[in-house]
Amino acid sequence: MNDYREAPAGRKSLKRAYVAVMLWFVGRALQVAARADAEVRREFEALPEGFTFAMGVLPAGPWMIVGKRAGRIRYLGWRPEGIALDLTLKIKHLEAAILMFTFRESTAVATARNRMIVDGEVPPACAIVRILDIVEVYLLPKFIARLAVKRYPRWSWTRKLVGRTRIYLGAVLGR
Amino acid sequence: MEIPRHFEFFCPIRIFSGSRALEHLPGELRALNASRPLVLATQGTADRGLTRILVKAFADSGMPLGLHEAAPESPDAAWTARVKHLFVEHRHDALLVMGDGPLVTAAKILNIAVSIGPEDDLAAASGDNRLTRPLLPFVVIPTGVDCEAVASPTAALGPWTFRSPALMAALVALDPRTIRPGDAGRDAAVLSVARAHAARVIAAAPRNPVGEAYARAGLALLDRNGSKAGKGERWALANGVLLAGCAHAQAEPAGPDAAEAAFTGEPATAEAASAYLPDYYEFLNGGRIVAGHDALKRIPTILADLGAKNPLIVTDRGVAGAGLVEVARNALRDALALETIADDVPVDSDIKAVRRIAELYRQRHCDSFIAVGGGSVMDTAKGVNIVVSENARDLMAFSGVGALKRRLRPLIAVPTTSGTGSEVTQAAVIKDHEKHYKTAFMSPFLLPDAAVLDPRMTLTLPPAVTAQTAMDALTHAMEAYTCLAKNPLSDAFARAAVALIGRHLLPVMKNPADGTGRLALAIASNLAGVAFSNSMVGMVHCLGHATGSACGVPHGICMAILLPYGLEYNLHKTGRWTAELLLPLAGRAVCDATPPEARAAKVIALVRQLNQDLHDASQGQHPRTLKEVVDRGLNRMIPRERLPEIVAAARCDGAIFYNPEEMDADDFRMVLEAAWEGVALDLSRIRKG
Repeated sequence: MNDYREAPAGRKSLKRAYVAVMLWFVGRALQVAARADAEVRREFEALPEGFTFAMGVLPAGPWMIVGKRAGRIRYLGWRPEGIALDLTLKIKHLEAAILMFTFRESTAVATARNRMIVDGEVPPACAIVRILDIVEVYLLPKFIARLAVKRYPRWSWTRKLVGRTRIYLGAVLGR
Repeated sequence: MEIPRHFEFFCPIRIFSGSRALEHLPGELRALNASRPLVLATQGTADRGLTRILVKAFADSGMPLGLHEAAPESPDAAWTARVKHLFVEHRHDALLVMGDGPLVTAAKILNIAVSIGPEDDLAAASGDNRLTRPLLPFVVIPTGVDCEAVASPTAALGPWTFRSPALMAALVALDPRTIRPGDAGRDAAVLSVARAHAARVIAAAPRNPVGEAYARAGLALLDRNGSKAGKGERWALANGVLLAGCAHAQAEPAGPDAAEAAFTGEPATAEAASAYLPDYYEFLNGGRIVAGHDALKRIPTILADLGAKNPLIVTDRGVAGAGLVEVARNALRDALALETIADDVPVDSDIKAVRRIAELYRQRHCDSFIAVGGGSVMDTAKGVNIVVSENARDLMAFSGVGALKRRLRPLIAVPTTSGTGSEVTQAAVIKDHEKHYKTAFMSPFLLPDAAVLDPRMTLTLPPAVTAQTAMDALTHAMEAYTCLAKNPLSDAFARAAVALIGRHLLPVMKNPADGTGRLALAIASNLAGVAFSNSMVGMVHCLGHATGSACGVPHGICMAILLPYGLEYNLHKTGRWTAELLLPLAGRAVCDATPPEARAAKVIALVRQLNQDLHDASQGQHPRTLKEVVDRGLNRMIPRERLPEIVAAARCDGAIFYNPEEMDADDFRMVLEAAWEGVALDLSRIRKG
């Protein structure tokens, strides 16, 4: 029959690469923010030792894995295989991830629009979302961060400047 | 208001509507155990580049598409046979139809053909309600505004005519990229017919409140977008046509000269309804809704339609002790013997109870469930259903989102309170009391097959319980209407629920034996349940869950007290939506007498007044503030010093994701202190995002 053809599932390599870089950077920023910001530190302290969470895109990534090891927060890379996860924030598809990481949809709006699945206990998920909001405020200029969070926080300029410098440097240098 | 003596509604269509709707399909198909869909489209659809958009949307999903782009405009039986061969030869397991009208109808027949097998079986399945086997996943992607055919339970092609609810079980992806202009005259005719269908359902007598909600939502979209022709407007119109089609396919149409609707005080146009349409929304109202003064009598027929005849009754001792199982048994005596009863569901659904009841189900060779009770009974029945349907040793293997991939055994939900809406939710929460944790299960397959709303099941509720459960339903409706995930359909359900509670709650408090009022509250609870299970809830539930778990306060009481504070806290962001609730809550006269800028504040004041009226009508049993909540020994249940504990618990509740305004610990504390004292929030202290 000649009225049939098969279209293999293609790839969106550029978009995948963009999301992978964003997740990599946020993962490393989380690692630094856990030391540089008292509020983030308190949130992570409340999570149990060994707690591990992943955020990524269905069905095949990219992923960001972050865990608490020996009391410290570590970026554990981008491969979830073989890692026991306590919490997974799954973005349903790559286009939804692009909407989120180009700040056209905030985390709250993406959740409301059912673009993201939270797999795991709700209390740590709430803590992780609060942490991600704080890190976004550090990483993004105010006019963009206002799109990403529900309410832009009123921080002192020293908290913003010192924290932003430490987190950017730490994320780039990996320490 | 006129309440029908009996109505039914069944529309198992899952709607995915808005930007990137197509990209959601691979994940949804995977959740249905499908991985090789066949796309059916006409050459015209392919020429307009629409199949190319679909192929691009599936990129990065790992799911290849088979494409048949040569479907005729009006397919015949020979085409069905040819494509069936194609489907089988290439081992496809789902159908995606890009198109409208005749192609959708033909594809429905094709789906029966590929799901059922040999032609003899197909002939045997034709006729009314003879499709007993589940069909394969079926997705419709409309390419124009003509999408009423999706909602039709009837399909006829060549020698076959089928009529079955199974023919409506479709996923519909309304994506603005694929809704293209068609022939101008034909499009205008489609819109005109859809408007007429919606208007007729709104004006129908007797009323069908669920059909009316679909119709009002559809009409609002059709009326607000009727004169424009951009991509967004065409998409909105397609939404309107689909919803009008769902309403018309299920609700009895009335004569065109029917009188103005008295249902919510709104006319039979969508003039007063919101036409809010978010960039993207999903909606499912999948179970059959059966409501009426003798609705229990429909259970044997529903079970028979589902291929079951030996149900297990799941209930708790309170419900059984109140004689409600007997009420059900007596109502069904002539048609069905309810012999197997598990009446030991604990107050909180529990893994041990699930195992015990699953064992009973197997021993007695049951084939279905009737859950009679509240949320805990429903959740337990859902848990048992997972165990027996999946033949699972470990229920927890199916926890989380989307772990279930196929239909479970038939489950009919008979709620005995008018508040929780758990008869229409896709979730179950089961506790492990030994390990001290709760596990959530989420899946469309957890939706009960039918919700049977019979006022006899709530006639004996004490006034205080009537008040708190109705306020729970009112909170579901109002939060669904004002929180982040609102959408046109859940809005229509929410408005209808608010109208019913606004008119019937106080009369039922004064006359608990008012069967019509009880039925109205049961319908309201159901409508609110559908609204919030699709649009979720916000800070009122967040604080309510926390107060309930920290101090053991009944959920409905927390909702009643905290609802005005939730509306007040979010006022600067959602005042427009809150204001729109004045018409259904208080009626036309009050709404017209209140200036538009004062309507939101009026709604908040009326909710506070309702709490005061319930307090008076229950001889003070319905508390108005957190400090008034007492236990049976009249001891205060929420001492002020426990507020910090509630704040800590509220920070761990997922409902806050859906609240329009951010809330941190200071905000939670501010709201709780005001609710404890019973004073209004100081709006100047609310930090605005």
